[in-house]
Amino acid sequence: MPSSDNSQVTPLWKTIAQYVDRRIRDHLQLQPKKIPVTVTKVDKEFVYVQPDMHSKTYTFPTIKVAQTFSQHAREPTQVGAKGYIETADYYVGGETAFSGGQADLFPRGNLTPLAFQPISSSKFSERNYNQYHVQGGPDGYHLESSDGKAFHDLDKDHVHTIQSDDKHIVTVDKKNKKITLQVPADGEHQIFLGGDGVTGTYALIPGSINVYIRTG
Amino acid sequence: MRYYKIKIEGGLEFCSVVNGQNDPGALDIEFQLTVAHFQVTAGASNYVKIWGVPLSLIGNANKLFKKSIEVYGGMTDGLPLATFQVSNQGLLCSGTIMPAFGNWQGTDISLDMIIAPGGEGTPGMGAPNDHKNIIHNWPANTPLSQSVENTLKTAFPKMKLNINISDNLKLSYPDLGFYNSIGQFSQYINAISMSILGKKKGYSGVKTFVKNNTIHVMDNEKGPSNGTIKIDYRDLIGQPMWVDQGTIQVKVIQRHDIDQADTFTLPPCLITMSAGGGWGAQISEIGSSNISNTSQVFTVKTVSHYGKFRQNDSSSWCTVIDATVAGSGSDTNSSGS
Repeated sequence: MPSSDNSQVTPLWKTIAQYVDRRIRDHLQLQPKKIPVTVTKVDKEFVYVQPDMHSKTYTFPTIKVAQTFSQHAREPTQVGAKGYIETADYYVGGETAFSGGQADLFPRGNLTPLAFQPISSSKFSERNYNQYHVQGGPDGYHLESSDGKAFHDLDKDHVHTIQSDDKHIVTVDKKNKKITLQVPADGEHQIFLGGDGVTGTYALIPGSINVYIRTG
Repeated sequence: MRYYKIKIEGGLEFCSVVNGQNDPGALDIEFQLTVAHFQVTAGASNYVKIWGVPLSLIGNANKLFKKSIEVYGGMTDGLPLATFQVSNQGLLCSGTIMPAFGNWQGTDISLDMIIAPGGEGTPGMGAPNDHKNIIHNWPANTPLSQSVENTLKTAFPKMKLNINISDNLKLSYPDLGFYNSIGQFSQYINAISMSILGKKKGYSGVKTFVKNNTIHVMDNEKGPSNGTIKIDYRDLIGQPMWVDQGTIQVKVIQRHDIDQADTFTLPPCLITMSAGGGWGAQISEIGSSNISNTSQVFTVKTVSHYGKFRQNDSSSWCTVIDATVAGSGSDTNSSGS
């Protein structure tokens, strides 16, 4: 029995609009949040991130999240790395194997189905901006075949190692002024000494050899 | 006799009983008060109107804005059927006046008060434009009740908590989120509870509502802490009816003691029940049986109190209860279902 004067003071068109507006904003808040974060800890393929939000209201927790890369191109994320949270609409614990299980159509907490997405910064070191790809972590760079037998390694001491398999290895070590070539001592392996690449001079390699760089 | 008492912060009080006696000159009032969990309605629009107040009060009605208010109702001593209901009188609704305004038209003077009953829109309970620090940090393999308690204690330190939910509400991973109002948070915990126990037949999900400065967080797994209420035939106004699949509506003489997630049974009456309950059964079984299963338990979904003090029909002083058949699981509107 709503009174007529109430309906005129607070008419339905106004209260309904307020109600709908509130429900929409509720729904938006319940969706997973893409918020800026800083990495505070690295735990293998996961990172702990702290939201960088300025808020007088919220005390945001540190969150353990996966990262937005595949097993074939894993980044050396470091503590202090900046980025934001990428979200899924539903549970992703089955995919990250963090907790297993399978997603259903129910939503999760809005800081739960998340992954860390790094972003660029003007504070990054200078590079050749025309190069396609620059990568490498504090311990260097590592590129390997899926079976792990062949790899290309550039370590923090600037030593290049190229391994085709455990019997075919080349290292370039500027620090110790040494290039090492290791191949089987089968008398069949040759080293190219010069030429146009089609014809040239080759020498048979007896086994492992060291090539010393002459300086001065 | 009908009974009411309205207490407003600051000492203002209106009551139909003076010195233990019914006051024949008590002011006429009317109200509509709905107590519903936040999955049904985010901030029900409740109001109380008091007729015949002094002009000085309506002139200062704006000063009542954001004052707390308590509305008591029910019946007091009188004829036998009224006296039978005295034990059911009590607090119907409490909240904050948002806003109040006076009317003076012709010879009618009235004071209207819109009441925010503790949900969204109530000062201090959070809103999309008035954020509360509701951070939910739910560690893996711990009961939801613990994390909800921690969250609500931090966000609403001055309110009491009544958390009575299933211990089986656990996740194998940590679940975190931040919400800016009690309404949002309750929508989330309802949905997440349904994702865990929703496949269990009849599970209602966790429901949250606010009454009497207490945040109630309940589900039908543990059942209400006050036991199952037995509704007497002398309580009923008219006959219960099916209003939706598995949902029944019962009109009783105004009473305060039935709240969200409470359970009750009905006396023998004209509705019929099927194994699962529902209005389909009502239609198909008309004539087959006019006696309900008096052991059938219903779970309260919403409670609305209606009052028009001096209007002399029973529907003008009543409580309307929407309830689900326990086990029907019909009271689920969580996304994802």
